Amino acid sequence: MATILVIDDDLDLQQMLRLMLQRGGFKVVTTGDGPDGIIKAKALKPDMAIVDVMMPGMNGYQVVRKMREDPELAHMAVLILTARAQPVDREAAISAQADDYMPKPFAPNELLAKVNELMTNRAMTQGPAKKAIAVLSLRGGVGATSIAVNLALACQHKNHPTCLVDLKPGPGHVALQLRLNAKTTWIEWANGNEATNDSVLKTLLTHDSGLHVLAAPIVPAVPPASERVTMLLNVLQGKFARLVIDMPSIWHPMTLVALNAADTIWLVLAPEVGSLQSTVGALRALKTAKIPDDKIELIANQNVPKPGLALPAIEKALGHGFKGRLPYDEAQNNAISQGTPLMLSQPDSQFSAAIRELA
Amino acid sequence: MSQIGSRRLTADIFADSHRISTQMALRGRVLADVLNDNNTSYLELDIAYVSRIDHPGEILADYALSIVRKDRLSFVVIASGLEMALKQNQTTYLYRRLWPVFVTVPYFEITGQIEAPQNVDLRALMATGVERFVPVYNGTATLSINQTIQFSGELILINKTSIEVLCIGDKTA
Repeated sequence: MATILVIDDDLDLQQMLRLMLQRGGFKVVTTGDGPDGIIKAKALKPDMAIVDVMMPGMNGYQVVRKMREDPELAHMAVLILTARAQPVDREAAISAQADDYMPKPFAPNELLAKVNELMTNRAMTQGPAKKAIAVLSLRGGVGATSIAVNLALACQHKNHPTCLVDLKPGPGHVALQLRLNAKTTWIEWANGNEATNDSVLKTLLTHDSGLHVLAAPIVPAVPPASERVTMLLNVLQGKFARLVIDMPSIWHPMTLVALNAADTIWLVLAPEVGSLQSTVGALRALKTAKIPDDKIELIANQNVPKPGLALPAIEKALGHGFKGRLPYDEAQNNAISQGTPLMLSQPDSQFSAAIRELA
Repeated sequence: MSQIGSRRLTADIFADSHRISTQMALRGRVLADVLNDNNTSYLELDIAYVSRIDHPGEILADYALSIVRKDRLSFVVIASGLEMALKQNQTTYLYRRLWPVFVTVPYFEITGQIEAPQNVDLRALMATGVERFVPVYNGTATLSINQTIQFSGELILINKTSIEVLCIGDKTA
């Protein structure tokens, strides 16, 4: 039986919701304030939370944001139920990352229909399996980091709680592309004396989109021991539905650890000779490392207006077809410098659509 | 169909630069009577959620106790719960009709319908002697500087002293 947590300071309404939802076949837990709601949600792991907005102390939007920041609760369906019933309030609810919004007063059957719809949607988007995607290019400047950032945002938008890991020992640019200020990075975590499961999660940054990010340092560092990378990825794979790893361009034991941990490897190349040569080298190295061929997906990223090489010619040379072809977008440079990736600033662009299709 | 969540009246109170969302237990009175009550210049709120008018969805702060100066309110939007906001006076319908209305108050344009006699006297309508707030039915308030921001309700109670322009009747061709 699915469990629904009701967070509303109106005790009469709590009682009515309890009866109505129980009649609809749900187990119901109620509480009258946001902080207690978060504690109950962490303890009981309900399938859904119904959250009022106008509550003293912590309002409903703050409650939802707190839930979305917590990897344990980020996947939970959340319905905002509020007497603030204007169009701007719906936008505020969605912006707080609630799944949906319902104004008070409401009819019981409308609420039950909405709850059932959200439960069904959540079950569909959760998906049966977790997935880790490593985005790799052994040549810098082909746009692999931008692809990783946009891919992670696309996964998050599909309601898969996602963590983007900038696995470069430095300098890494994921945080820059998302305008995040990293106080600690994964290198500091890995080289620290207290590298525990919990301390990994404390190192994560949270983007406004709900995406979690593990940043790389700006100053290059010596790559840490592979065991630490294994531990890091295990923890994150356990917590998130999707893990997107922006891989370093160096061939190092830790690179192999991450590639082995990934379910899929996006091998990114640009249509130019240098990138083609690096990709040939990468494919050989992957084969030598006994990485299964069916894990590798070639992604062509047209990072200049006119490609130096034709894509069919590249496919022929590599003996590998492209899984995805990302078109040139003149707004890409601006998106990077503004810290607003195309998936956010131009979600309808061909580039964003192509990434979404692949995500 | 019965509705749930409507025992208290929820109202959005607008001053020049802020939106205050509140829920009120009116203890048998209707909101219009409370606003028009000349015995007090203030409206006490049990709970208030304050937003800036240019970001009206964002809650800036909430307070358990607050008080509002009625003469400084521009208007109050009641999304639903008309019966808790205004007494219905059926008998006067024989002599009155609903007029389309366009009102401007600082930063907002309000449209809707106003109940007034067939031969409407605009000066009498604007007089503040008995009713300080004029009811506009099925109203929409639009922020003048950003027309995407709108607030609609079964009723909007407009402070007559905030009204800059009131236009009544059908538009001219």
